[in-house]
Amino acid sequence: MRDLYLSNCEKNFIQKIISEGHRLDGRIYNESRKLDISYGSEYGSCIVSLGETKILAQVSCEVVQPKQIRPNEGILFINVEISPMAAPQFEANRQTDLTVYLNRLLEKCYKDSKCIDLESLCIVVEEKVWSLRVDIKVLNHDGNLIECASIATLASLAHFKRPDVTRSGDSVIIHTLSEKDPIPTVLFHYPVCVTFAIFSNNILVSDPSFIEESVCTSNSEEGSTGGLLVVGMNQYKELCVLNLSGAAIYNSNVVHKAILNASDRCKNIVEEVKSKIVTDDNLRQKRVKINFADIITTDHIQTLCKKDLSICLKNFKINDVKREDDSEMSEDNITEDSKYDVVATKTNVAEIKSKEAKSSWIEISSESEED
Amino acid sequence: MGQKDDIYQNFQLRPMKCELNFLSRSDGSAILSQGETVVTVSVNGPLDIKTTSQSIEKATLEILFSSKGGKPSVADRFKENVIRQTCETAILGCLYPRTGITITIQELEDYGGLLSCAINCACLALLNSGISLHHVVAAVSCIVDETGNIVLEPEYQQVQSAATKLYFVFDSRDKNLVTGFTEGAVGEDMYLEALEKCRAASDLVFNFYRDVVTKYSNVI
Amino acid sequence: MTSNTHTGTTVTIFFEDGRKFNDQRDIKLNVNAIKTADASAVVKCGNTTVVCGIKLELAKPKAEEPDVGFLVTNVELLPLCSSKFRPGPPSDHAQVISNIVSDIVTNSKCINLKDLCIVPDKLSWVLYCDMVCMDYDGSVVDACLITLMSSLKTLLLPSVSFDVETEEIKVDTTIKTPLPVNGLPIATSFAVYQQLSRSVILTDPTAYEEEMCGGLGANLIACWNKGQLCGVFKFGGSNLSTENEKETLALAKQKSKLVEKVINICIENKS
Repeated sequence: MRDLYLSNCEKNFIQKIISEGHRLDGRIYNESRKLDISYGSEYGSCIVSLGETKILAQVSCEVVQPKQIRPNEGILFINVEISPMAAPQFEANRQTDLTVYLNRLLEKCYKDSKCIDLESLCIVVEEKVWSLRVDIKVLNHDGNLIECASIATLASLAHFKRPDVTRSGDSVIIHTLSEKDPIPTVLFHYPVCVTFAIFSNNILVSDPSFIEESVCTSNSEEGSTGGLLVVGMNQYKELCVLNLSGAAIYNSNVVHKAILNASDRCKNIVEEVKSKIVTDDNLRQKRVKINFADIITTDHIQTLCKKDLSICLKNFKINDVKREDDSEMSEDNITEDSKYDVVATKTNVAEIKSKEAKSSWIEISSESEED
Repeated sequence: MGQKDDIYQNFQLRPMKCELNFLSRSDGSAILSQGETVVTVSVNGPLDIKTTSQSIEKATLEILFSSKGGKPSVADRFKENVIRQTCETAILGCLYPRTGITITIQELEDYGGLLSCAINCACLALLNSGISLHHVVAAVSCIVDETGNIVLEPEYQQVQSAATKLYFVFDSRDKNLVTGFTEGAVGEDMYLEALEKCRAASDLVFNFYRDVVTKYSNVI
Repeated sequence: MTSNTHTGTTVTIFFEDGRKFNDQRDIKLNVNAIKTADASAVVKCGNTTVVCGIKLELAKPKAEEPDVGFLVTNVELLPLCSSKFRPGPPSDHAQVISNIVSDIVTNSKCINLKDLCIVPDKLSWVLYCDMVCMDYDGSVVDACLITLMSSLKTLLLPSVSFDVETEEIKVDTTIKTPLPVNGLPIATSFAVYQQLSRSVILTDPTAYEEEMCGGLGANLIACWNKGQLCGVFKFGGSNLSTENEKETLALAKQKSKLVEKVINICIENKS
């Protein structure tokens, strides 16, 4: 992994605005980025995006011989890969500390918490069991990989269905999906990891972005004061994983506060995952073809430099800014749809509103108000 | 032009959909669907690389093909090789000596023609990254079915039952063959016919590139 | 004579070793060179030397396909054959060549894998075909395929009796039957060199020429089998126009006939 350097002014700026109650993308402390789950055509494949962080998860299964000490249990295997696609500092085919850390954390959350009924994966005791393999591929790393990866793992495992088998004597027949309906995986509970970044003065920031994450774990001149706290909880608000990295020293109140915040967030995530699976199932029953091609949208076109413009300051929204050369530009944009919507808001009232996310240029003016 | 259109009207490629800048942390990225096959590609570069793999003449290309699940296989290395050799002819590597360009390809859905979709997507991602190119490339795949007909950009079921699959990549300047390979046996005449059909159909892919770039030219 | 070809100053019509562009190098073939292998062959195409050995083993067929045997081909490029290769796990290049060779064999359908099955769902042959490159001087795929096909053609399978009741296997090495080989795929490598506005096709290139043309290995490999193409691979190098394409296919056809003769005479000569 190539070294990534943070400048002092970046560090100081982030720490200063966090201590003043602001975040770079305009969120409040315990606000998370937008969660989006989209399923692919196969069972158990999904792309989860949390803001700009994107992760692909795919569950596959094969019949193997069980481990000798657990002859009646199936096997769950989790494999995390971070390729140069995630961010340029990663190198191909190289395991980094981050990969190992992520892998171990997911194993703790999904294997050690016994959320999957491994005994139901057994076909013939001591001979044949199903082995589930979860492949997690990081497509875009914009902070909080842990939370995103854990949602992806959960969403794909809960969505996955394995082929049905019939035993006749010694031989085992594996049915194809068209022959017999596949069987879903049994989950006892749905654990999810959420991440908090801890900044000085015991400030808890949920769902940290890449820069917040790197600032809070980096060493400042006074020594490191921040850290990342991972809380894994299921929908019954039971704690499954608690992990701290970094060198934050703080009192037990912070952990308590984090767990309280996490319990609501986890519950919401699990509900979201479950409802998505139900919608997906309904669509599949209606024989609607579901494919990753659905996530390709052409109605919003991002600029090349959009990634540098994701900064949102308080009282300052992208949509508020008018372009200076609006009239001139619109002539070039004839091929595009109108940037405005005509909406009937009340009776006898109609309004022209600019569509959201349509404007792609922003201009920073110094006139933004302070409150 | 009218006569030319007549030649092409018989050609139908699977519908293509593309989004550029799909990934925010990459220098260039694209997601492309051709029919039900979907691929996403990220391009990073020119980057600093290890001195041992630097070349003083041109940029070193690093290609990583990542399948959807399961372990990496020899077939993945073969795909990487095909894409590397194709991109090497397209990229003006001599402009970026002693650097590396990393292209990562992630398979999302495979319903036939995965490799041609990957090559087209890589080309779009390269356009998006702003790396200088000699020419763009277009990959077209076709099969010969049981009755000896050539089917361009076949559907999944057709691919499964096909005896022979052919893949061709053409450059945008002279429509010369950049890369090509076959699976299954084929007669010489049939091979040359398929080659010509795909060559003509590559124009549709180039037109699609143009559409995508025009659409994005307003905002880049 | 030709070190100045890549400077583009003179148009030369000879290879560095004095060949014409469409001349191939001499081929020497020897079968059954390794006595410990079940079948083997050594070939020298110019300096390129490849040894192939086939090892027979018995195994249980896969549950999904109970009536087919296994043909496992593997190409090894060891550090001994060229300074380009390093010790350790197979390089990308070796994996690519392995893949091309196994693709050609499968595509040509020259071996019916069902012939390798002895008792469905119980017992079948596994043919481990290892090709080791001793000297890497270009056009390795051609050489690999020649050794592989001549080894397969000389391979004798011992008779095996299988008792369904006791599951006992008896191998009788005194009675041997040859493996049916249907067809003879022959590959020809080309390098495509851009000489100003026209491209030059080099038949049977050496390692130096392959490198000069910018490819990892040969740029174009055309494979003929029984008057049909069973694999055309074009990677990198200069782009190829239709005329050049036709020219190479014709050249490959010519060469395949010659090589076919070499293999057949070599095998007849042995017995």
